Amino acid sequence: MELLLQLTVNGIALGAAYALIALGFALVWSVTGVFHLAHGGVYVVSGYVIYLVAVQLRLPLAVAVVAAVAVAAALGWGIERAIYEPLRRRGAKSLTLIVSSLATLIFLINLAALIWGTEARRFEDFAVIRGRPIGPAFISGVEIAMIASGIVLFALTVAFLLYTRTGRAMRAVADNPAMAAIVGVNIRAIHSITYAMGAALAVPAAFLIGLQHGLNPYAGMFAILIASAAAIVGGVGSVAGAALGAVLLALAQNIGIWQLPSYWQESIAFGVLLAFIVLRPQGFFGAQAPGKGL
Amino acid sequence: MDYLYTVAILACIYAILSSSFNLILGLTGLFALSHAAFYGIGAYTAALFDLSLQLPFLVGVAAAMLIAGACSLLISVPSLRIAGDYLVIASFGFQFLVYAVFVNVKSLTKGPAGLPGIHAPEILGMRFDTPQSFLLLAAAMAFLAIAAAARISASPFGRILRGVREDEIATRALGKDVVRAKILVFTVGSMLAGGAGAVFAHHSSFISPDMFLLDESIYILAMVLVGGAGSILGSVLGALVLVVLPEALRFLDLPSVLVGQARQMLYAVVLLGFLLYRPQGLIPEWSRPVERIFARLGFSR
Repeated sequence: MELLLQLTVNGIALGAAYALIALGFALVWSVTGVFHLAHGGVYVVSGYVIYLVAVQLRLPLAVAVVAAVAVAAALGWGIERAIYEPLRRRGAKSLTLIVSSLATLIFLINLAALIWGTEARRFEDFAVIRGRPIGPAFISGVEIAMIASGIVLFALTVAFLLYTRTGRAMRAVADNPAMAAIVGVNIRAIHSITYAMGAALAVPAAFLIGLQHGLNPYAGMFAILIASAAAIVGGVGSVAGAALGAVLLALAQNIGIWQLPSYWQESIAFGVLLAFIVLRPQGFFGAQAPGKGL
Repeated sequence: MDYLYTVAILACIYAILSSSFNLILGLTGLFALSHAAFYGIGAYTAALFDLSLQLPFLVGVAAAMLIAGACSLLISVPSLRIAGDYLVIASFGFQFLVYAVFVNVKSLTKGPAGLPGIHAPEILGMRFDTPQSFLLLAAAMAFLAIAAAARISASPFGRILRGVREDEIATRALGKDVVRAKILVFTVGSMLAGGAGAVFAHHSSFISPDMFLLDESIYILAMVLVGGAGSILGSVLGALVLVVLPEALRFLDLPSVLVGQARQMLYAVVLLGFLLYRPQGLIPEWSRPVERIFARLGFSR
């Protein structure tokens, strides 16, 4: 029973970190309609930027985080401007956009592997927060940070979408791009902001997951699998659903270890996904057109 | 010299993989990331039929195709009932699952160590144990698979598939069972990939889980798009180009640890370049000279 509680705590913490990756992915998917697999590449690169600045250059962590957010946002924005937008202008179908996104993912992951190698890079100790026991279980400082940043950034994103002018414009574009353009929303600018914002959300996740497991370029593949599965489990187009889906997948993975050998963890995520596709294809907050549930 | 035969044999195997994947991606417009998984399932099936059951090569090929086709239903039936993006993610996850099975079901697959000692194929007493004779066999298999793919592409069923790609609702309105067509083409494509896996297992005589990773699926995807989506002949050319091109990297004298990454980045750049500047690929789907040749061979559309 203690083990189950411990696994639940671990699952919720990891889920909160996944939720940040899924949040960015779902945001891009619903606002721009692109199945943005390259998001996994942005995630990997931003983790290594923190490593570069904080560990290799020995600058303060705050500088590293700011640098990583800047690089990630620039990368997200750059992918939209250099790849998706030209393709869209040439009348590319969504299939072409997915393939280009996949190629970008492969490029970024292998670029990171070329620069930093395929051996896991570990952060030195950045334990600012102390871990503490919860009943018989234990929550580490990193896990507290995961849950806290997950909740705070999720709330900020939702507030941004609901109450700011740009956020409302994003929802309008998600709902009906043609209509949004008619009432004067600058679609091009909104797309760029969405990519930059989605990318920035991956930074804390990359750092915290990196603290716990070390950095590995190929983790980007699994990260984007989880993020996109979470977006589907949560309901296409729903940002809150994507976050909830991520927590559910991480919980399923962790609680799965209770009964199954740990190497089946990744397959459990696939099982949950498949169950959702069969039983509830519209996800938690389903039965909505993309964008409606933003 | 043997090295050249190996490259040629690989080109044949990849020609099967790319032309079969073209049926799914190019002709029907279904994006899946699992072709290497079915290739691997075929390879493991053929290897186990050879090693554990000592059954003849052709039985192994048939079993590889059947089992790969059956496994494909696991993802195609649930996800193709719904919409495009679901197949992307289901096939992506399936690729991870198949790897986990190859690595972890040790009683069957021997885990990461792989399965060594797969025998040279034998058909009716003829053994294909030299590179030359194996190339003949691989070429014959490739010819059969490519002819099958070209036949499907030229058939009325191929027209339905193109209809699904261009306008699914209009195709449905014409009374065609769109979902059935999609599941069927996904199964056929996966079966051919399984067959390619069987040929590969007997060629390399050793298989291990990391030969059938996502990278491999992407490699096949690049062949289809470089060759020309929807053009079967293009896929064959795409396979040739992408098997031969990376061999050129050998002469660049990169440190061996970097070769894998450099190769992957090369595919990514080539792929992006084609998407941006020549989306129709090397041989476009409706290329007149190619169509004339096809018509003469009896594959008129």
